[in-house]
Parts: sequence; C-alpha cells; structure tokens
Amino acid sequence: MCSMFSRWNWVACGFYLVLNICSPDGGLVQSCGHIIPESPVLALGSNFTALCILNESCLDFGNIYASQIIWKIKNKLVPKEQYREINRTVSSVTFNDTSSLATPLTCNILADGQIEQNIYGITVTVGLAPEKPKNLSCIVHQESVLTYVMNCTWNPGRHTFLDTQFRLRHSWPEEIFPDCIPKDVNNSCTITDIQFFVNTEIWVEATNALGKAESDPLVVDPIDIVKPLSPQNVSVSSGVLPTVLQLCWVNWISDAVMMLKFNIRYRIVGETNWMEVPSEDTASTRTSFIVQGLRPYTEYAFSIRCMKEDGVGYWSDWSEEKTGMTTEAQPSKGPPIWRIIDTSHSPAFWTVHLLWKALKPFEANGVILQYEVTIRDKSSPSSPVKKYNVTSTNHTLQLREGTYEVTLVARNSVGSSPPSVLLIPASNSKAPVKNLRTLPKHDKLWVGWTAPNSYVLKYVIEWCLVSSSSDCIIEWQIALGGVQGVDLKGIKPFKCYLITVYPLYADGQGSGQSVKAYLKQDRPSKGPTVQTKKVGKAEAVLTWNHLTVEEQNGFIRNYTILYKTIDGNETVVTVDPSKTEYTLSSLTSDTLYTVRMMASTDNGSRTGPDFTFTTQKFGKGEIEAIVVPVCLAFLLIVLLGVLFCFNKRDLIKKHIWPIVPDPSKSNIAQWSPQVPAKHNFSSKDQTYPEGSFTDVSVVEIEADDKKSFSEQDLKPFDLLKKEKSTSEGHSSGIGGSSCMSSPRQSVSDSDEGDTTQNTSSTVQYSTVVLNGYRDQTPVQVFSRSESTQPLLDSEERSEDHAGGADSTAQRQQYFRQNGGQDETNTDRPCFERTKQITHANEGDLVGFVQLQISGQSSQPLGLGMEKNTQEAAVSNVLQTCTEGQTVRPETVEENPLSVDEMPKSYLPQTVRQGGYMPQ
Amino acid sequence: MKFVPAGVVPFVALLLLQRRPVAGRALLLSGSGCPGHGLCRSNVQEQTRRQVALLNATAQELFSLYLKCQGEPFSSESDKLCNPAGIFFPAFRVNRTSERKEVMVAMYKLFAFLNASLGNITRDQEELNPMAKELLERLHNTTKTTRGLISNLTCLLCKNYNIFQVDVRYGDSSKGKSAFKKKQQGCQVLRKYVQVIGLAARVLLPHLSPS
Repeated sequence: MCSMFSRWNWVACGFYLVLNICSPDGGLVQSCGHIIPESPVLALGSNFTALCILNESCLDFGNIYASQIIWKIKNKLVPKEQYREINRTVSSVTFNDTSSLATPLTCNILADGQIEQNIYGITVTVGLAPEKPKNLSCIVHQESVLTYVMNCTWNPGRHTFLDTQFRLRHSWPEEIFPDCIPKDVNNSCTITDIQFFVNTEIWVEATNALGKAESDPLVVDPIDIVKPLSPQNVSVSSGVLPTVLQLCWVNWISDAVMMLKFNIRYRIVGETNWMEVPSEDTASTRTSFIVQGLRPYTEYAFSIRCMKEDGVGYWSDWSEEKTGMTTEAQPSKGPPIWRIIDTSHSPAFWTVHLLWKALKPFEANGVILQYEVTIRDKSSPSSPVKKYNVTSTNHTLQLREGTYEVTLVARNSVGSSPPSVLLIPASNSKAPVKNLRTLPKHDKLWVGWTAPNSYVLKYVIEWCLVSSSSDCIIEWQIALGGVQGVDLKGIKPFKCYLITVYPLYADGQGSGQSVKAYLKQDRPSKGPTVQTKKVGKAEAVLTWNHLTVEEQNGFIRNYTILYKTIDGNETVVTVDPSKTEYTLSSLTSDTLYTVRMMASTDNGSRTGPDFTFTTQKFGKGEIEAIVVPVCLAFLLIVLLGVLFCFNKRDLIKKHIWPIVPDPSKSNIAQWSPQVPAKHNFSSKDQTYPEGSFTDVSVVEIEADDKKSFSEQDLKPFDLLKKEKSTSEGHSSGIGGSSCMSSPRQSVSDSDEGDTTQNTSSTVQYSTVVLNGYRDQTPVQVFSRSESTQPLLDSEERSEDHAGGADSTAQRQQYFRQNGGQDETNTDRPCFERTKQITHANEGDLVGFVQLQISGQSSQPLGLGMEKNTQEAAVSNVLQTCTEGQTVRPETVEENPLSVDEMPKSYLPQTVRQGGYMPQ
Repeated sequence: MKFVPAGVVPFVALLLLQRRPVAGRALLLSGSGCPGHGLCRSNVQEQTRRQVALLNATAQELFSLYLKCQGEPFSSESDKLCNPAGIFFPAFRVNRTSERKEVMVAMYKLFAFLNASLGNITRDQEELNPMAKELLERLHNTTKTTRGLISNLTCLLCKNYNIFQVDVRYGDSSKGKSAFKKKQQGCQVLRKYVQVIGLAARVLLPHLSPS
C-alpha cells in the first residue's frame, strides 16, 4: 500500500509501518483491517458471508477504501458479483455453497497502480456436523473374580472432516458417571466401573464444532450382558465304572453374583467330532459333573463353558481341554476271523492260515494280552481239541483235509471276549451270493450283493489290489448276515480291485463270487502302441498289446484306431477291448499311412504314439500273375523257335554257317594266275599248321577288276617305296625295331576305335566270294572268320557296298583282323599294341597279313604281295602314323573323294583308318 | 435424595417426605415423576433382592478379610475390639411381617449409612493398607453395590410409595482419628454390617420375591 507513493510518501509509509510494528495494541504488526468471522468452521454446503473491515487509520493515511477490496480464495480471485460494499470501510463476500471454499480466504486491496496488497486472511474449515451414533451395543467381560469391564461399540456415522469427539456415557437414575473417552478410535470404549443389578442407561455423544449428536440410549442391567470367564481348574477323574468320568471345576463368578449354566463337551482323543452333554443336565450352577456312557479304556478330552443361568448374556469361551481315561472292561466282542487255505502242496493236506483282526479300541476295552485259538475237527469228533495261545493276529496250521471249527477269544486284564467261530468246511459247496456289484461312494467303495435263499450267518468280503507286477495281497472284512452291502475303506482311486464275497452258513461256506471294481476311474496313463503285423496292397494287419492294469486306470471300454494318409481325413475305427489285432481294409496302395491307437475308459481316453506304414504297390500274386504268363509265353516261343530251327536246321546252316572250303586244299593254284602269291601263302602254311586258317577266305577277283587299281591308287605305294628308300636309316627307332617284330601294325589312329573295339571282341567276319569257285557258278559266299576284330562302319559299308553293288562287281579281296584294336591305343607304343594283338590272335592269326582297304580305294591282292616285299618301309610309315598324323575317319567318310586331297606324305591313302597294313 | 459420593459422609439429616396417594386423583408424582423414571423398571425389585443377597453373601468374607488385613490385635481380639455396641448403626427394626414400605425405608436408611461408612472405611484402608488389594477391591465392590442398592431403593420408594426423600443419619467420621481407631471403627461397622445384612436379607426376601 506504500508503493507508488512519492518520496515523501515513502518516508511517511516507512514511518507508518514502524508505528504499526511498534504499536502496543497491535503487537509487532498491525494490520489495516480484519475479517470477521475469524477462522470459522462451516457446514459443508451451507452459505457463508465474510466481512473485511478496514481500519480508519489506513483510510486516512493510504487512501484505502472498501471499494478497493478484492477477495481471494487461496490465490484465486473471488468473482466481484459476490462482493458487496457495505460502507467505505467494510466489504462483504458471500458464498452460497461452502464446498467452493478453501483456505485461506484473504481480503486484499488493489492500491494505486493496480498493485495488490493483502490486508487479512482467515482459515476456513468446512465439515459436517456429527451424525447420530447408531447400533450401540455393550458386553461386560469378566476379567477376574471381582473385576468386570464393559465394552461398548457403536457406529460413529459419516466422516465429518472435523475433529469430532465421541464419549460413552452411562448413568443411573440420579447419578451420571464419568464419561468414557475412546482412545485412538471413535467407535468403542471400555468402562471399568460398572455395577450389577442396577439399570444403567448408556449412550454415546458425538461432538464437533458444528454440533452434537447422541445415540439412542441403551438401558441395561450389566449383569445381563456378562460374558463370564470360562470355568477354571477343570479336572477329570475316572469313576468306579469303566464308562464314566467325573469332571470338577471352579467357577469365577460367585453364585451371589450370578447363577450359571454350563455346556460340557467331550471327544475321544484323536477324533475331531465333539459330543455334548445334554444342556438340560447342566442347566444349573455346579462345579462338577459325571459324564456317563463313555467307552471303556478310552481317553477323552473335556471342555466346559458357562453363562448366566437364565440364558441372558453371553457364553464364556470354552475352557482349556482336559483329558481323562476310562478304566478297562472286558472285550465286547470276539475278533473277526478268516482263513486262507493253501492246498498247493497236496490237496489232502492243507496249510491253513488263520487271520483275525485286532479289535478296535472300543471293542477291546483295554489292552489285549493274548488270543486263544481252539481247533475242533468236526470230521472226527473224537479228535482232541487243539488250543493255541497267540499274541499276534495270525496263526498257521497244517491240517488234514476236513471240516474244522475254529474258535478265537481275545483276552485283556479284565476278562475274555465272546468267542468268534469260523467253520472251515471240506468244500465250499453252498450257494454263492448273487448279483454282486460295486458302487463308488465318495472315498469308499460300496459292495452289494443279493443274499442266497438260505440263511447266511455272515459274509466275508475279500479284496485285493490287482497288479501286474506283484501278487494280490488279500484284505478282508466280515459283514453280518443281515446286510447285503458293505463299504470298503482304504480303497485307492484309479486302482483295480478284485473283490470276492463268500457267504458263511451255519453248516458250511458258499463259493466266492468275484467282481473287479474301481473306486474312481481316470483315463489311461498311456495309449496302446500299435504296429503292423502285415501290410498288403489294400489292407494292413495291426497288432498291439493290452495296457497293464496299472496303466489302465479304469475299465478299458474300447480301443479306437485312428488312421489317415498324409493329406487325407482321419478314419476312426472302434475295436473291442479284448482284441489285440485288427485288419484295416480298403486302404490305398503304395500310400503312407499314419495310425495311432486310443484306449478309452469311462473317464477319458489316451492316445498312443503314431505309427506309419506304407501299403504295397502290388497285391499278393499280382506279380506272379504277370511274370508267370510272360515267362510261359517266352518259353513257348523259344520252344517253337527251337522246333522251327530244328526242322529247318539244314536251311539255317546253309545260310548262317555254310561249309567253307579249306583254301589250303584248294586247287586254285592250279588255275589261278597268281600262283606265286599262293605259293607264298603256302610257304607260310609250312610255318603254321593247316587248320589254323579255317577262318581265312580267299576271294577271287575278276580280272576286269584290275582296272580299279588305277595309277592314282598305286601312287602312294610308289611314294612308300620312295619313303622307304629315303628313310630307311630312320626306321630303326622305337617303332622300327618293335613294330617290325610285330605281326601286325596299326596304321590308323581314330576316336572311333572305342566303339569299334567294343563291338568287335567276339564278332567273326566273313568275306564274300563273288566269283564262282572252281567250276561252280559264282555265288556270293560268306566266309566266317575266327577273328575277334570289331566290325568297322566302313567295313560294314564296304560289305554293304559290295553286297549292294555286286552288279558293278568291283571285287575286293582282303583280310581283316582286329581292325579297331589299335584305334583305341594310338597313343601307346607300338610294342604294346603289337603285344595286345598278339595275345588276341596268337596261334591263329600270327603270320597273316592284315589289310584294311578304304571304301573308296581298293587294293589289289598283288599289292599285298608287293607290300610284303616292302615290309620295312611300311613299318616306318606306320610308325609315323602313330605319332598323331592320322587321317580322321570322319574326314574320310564325309569326303569320300578327298583321298586325293590328302597329303601325299601320308601313306597309304588306301588304308582306312583302323585298318591294318599287311605285314 | 442427593448423590453422596463414596467417602464423603455429610452429617445431614434428610427429611422424610411421604406423599399419600389420593384416591380418584391422578398422581402428580406418580412413578413417571421419579427421577430417572426410564430406568425404574419392573426388574428393580429383583435387582434389589439380588443386591442384598450379594451383600449378604460377601459380608462375612469382607469382614474376615478386613480383620486379617488389620493384623494384631484385631485378628485375635476381634470380638472385643470390634464390638459394635459403642457405635451408631441405623436401627433395623423390621421383620417379615413389617409393611413393605417400612421395610423399604429401613433398608434405605441402612444402606445409605453403610454406603457412607464403607466409603470411609475404604478411604482409611487405602491409607492404612494400600497393599491389601483384595480387601480394597472387596470394599470397593461392596460400596458400589450399596450405591446401586440405594439407587434401586430410591426407585422403589418413589415408584411404589411416592417417597423420594428419606431422613438418614450417618455415623461419626473417622477423619482425624488414629490408625487404630480408624481400624477399630471400620471393624465395628463391618461386624455390625455382617449381622444386619443377614437380617435384611431374610426380611427382604419375602417382600421382594416375585409375587
């Protein structure tokens, strides 16, 4: 408010502040105004008006007036519509709903220059008036013999947002007692000074700044709301009788204060269920009680509680449990007895295992010291009675087959039990029970049957856990003859039990009837493992093993086979549970199938692992049906062929294997103009015995064929001769000496040699003799050769050519032998090649000149003779050819006339590739 | 009737006022006019009987415990030291044949006196035997019971007989007396109390039994 003043004003302002600060009535700081009401407490939702009153001194000094007042809630300006200027020093602000209020509410001045100065502020508290406390209730707790406290609780109502005090008040008609102020809570309080037998009015007052509320008064005599302490020092003592126990205790409340009634509860130690003494027996004050009807030799636990005799008030807590034991009494019944007869050694002598159950505590009525077993032989009454004293619960006897009566008595310190009698007949010939059945009941298995027509003393129910790995351990129990069903206890779920019921008659025993049962079934623990036994084209035989009884977890109701192809739908087949094999039919041949098997009980199914198999492509016998007729047909054809050949053997022999005349025995020399040549042959005949040349054909060439040997054809041989003369000195190389020693020499190098060689190993050759033999009419004769030299294309062609152009009759005469051999071995040394050839024709062919003639050229026989004279020169030429400058057969074939174009140095041009020069 | 805090025994003679019921007229001061009439219910009669029976049942134990806690010579010479002959004790000259109202008034005088006397005894014993917790507790309880009894008797007198003020005489205060005297006075009062409470119980029983 001092801002914007002039310098003088600043001084005055400072002086004013000093005065304000130091003024005796204003404390250190004196405000220029104040707000009323000061720090109000307002009801939530109510309206509220505040006044800001400016001091007169400030008006005069600082030109401050009510019109300049602005109101703020926290830092938020209150709308001016809510202001009212009452006079020049008082401004009011009104709030219609206090819920919009907040702290602080300030009164401010907007001084010159629009500078805001705070004048005063108040704290506004908004809350609610207390609600009327409800549901007041009290209970008097006894803390000791003479000390009682009363605890009261109530519902304090809504939250008030204010400091609200609750006080519990109580009064007598003319006396109001000190209030009970709750500590830390607002809904309960405990009064320690209470007085019985006076009607007391109790109520709750809730007070805060906005008001006060009282609960409805509760008028009660505190004695009627007492929760006493439970009886103390409870003791239990046994009485004279074995069925009673006496309880004694001390009450915390004297009879003068309150008469009590009691609840007495008791239970057998170890059991959870309590029994209670009838309330009418304990409806009056007492400090002892005799509990009757208890079991002998049984430990009981007792507990007592009390409350006001008229039932008004609260029960005390149960007292601490105290135990006591009744005294012994003689056993109330004989032990149940049964037997197992072992006749495995001999039917005439039994091993009888007598079994009996220990009496239950309430039957034994004490500690069983021993059992007395008595055996009477009913078959021979004169036999002495045998007695045995046994401390265990079984006894084994060796008895001769017969009827026996077994009596069993249990003894304790007080006396003996009634005897239990078991008749062991020679045979179980009596009627059995009928309609044996089971039914699960919670955790017990009920076994029921229909009684036989005869009177039954009792029934023996045997049962045992069926196991695939161990023997059936028999348990048993006895039921009285009047019952037709018992509950078997201790039955485990998901286990198979074999239950047998025997009726026991007065004069014998009925045969046992058995049934298998489950207390609870589950789905099998695993599924069957299926596999194929046999797979055909359209069917497959599946086999599997039964699940073990431990795996079944219930009765297997059926097996389900599920099979499918890879992309097909699954097919389901249900199979009887007794089966272990099934044949799938209508399958697709040569198809992969996946099959699995599911075992199902009443409570679910389990599937085994997948198994795959593939059906066969052909069915059984299909292959045989095809192969056998084919073979038969083949054999038939062969047979017919053989028969035909046999019938036509002469004709066939004539065409295929004609008789070839022996040239050595030929008389051609006598008429042939080439006697010398023949003679040369003959000279060789002397070296090789006759007969070695049976495969040699001699071809006569007509005289006019000589013209075919033109000069051109003979020229190479001239060159050869020249070559031989000029290169004779060079012939002594590798090819020279070795090739000279070779009986044959390759003159060609060709890739075709492979093919030729492959087809030549066993082919024999024939040479066509075109001229007539001797005086015979010239016919085309084929002479078979023993050579294994392969047929060459050119040779075949030449043959064809010869055969097909017999009219032109350019007769050629030559020898062939192993033409292709060298073609595959052109890179090898001549020695090797020679050796191979030698091996192939050794003995038969050695000494024969081999000559291969181009299809375009012909070589007169005389040339061959001449060649023999030029042996060394030819060998040299051949040696040269093996060095890679061989005329390719392709070239020859494609350009049959290109022989003229061949280099002259290659000799002989008339020699076709793969052929052999005569040596 | 005014509330008399325990331990404070003013020697004030209270005026007994009796308002006779007027036949044929509405009672101006009927039961509804009694103080705390909402609490003055029908069970008050039974409550009163139970209170007298309770005091009777505990009086002897209280006296025995008091003697025991005072030590010698009180424990051995109680007959001599505790002879109440020399002290004031309200006369209780009623019997089973007395009028019920008379019995109620006598009872009121008796228990008003006892309440004041027990208050004094409790105060003295808190001073003389502060460690005698059981005695103090019993004295407290007996005093509280007498307070409740006075409240119930006030209710009964007002409700049944329109009596709401009874003249009561109290005994001498023990304040300023020696410890022995205090013990002796307490012993004498309690002995007399044992005697009178038994009589009161017997007299009151037929009068307060449910009719």
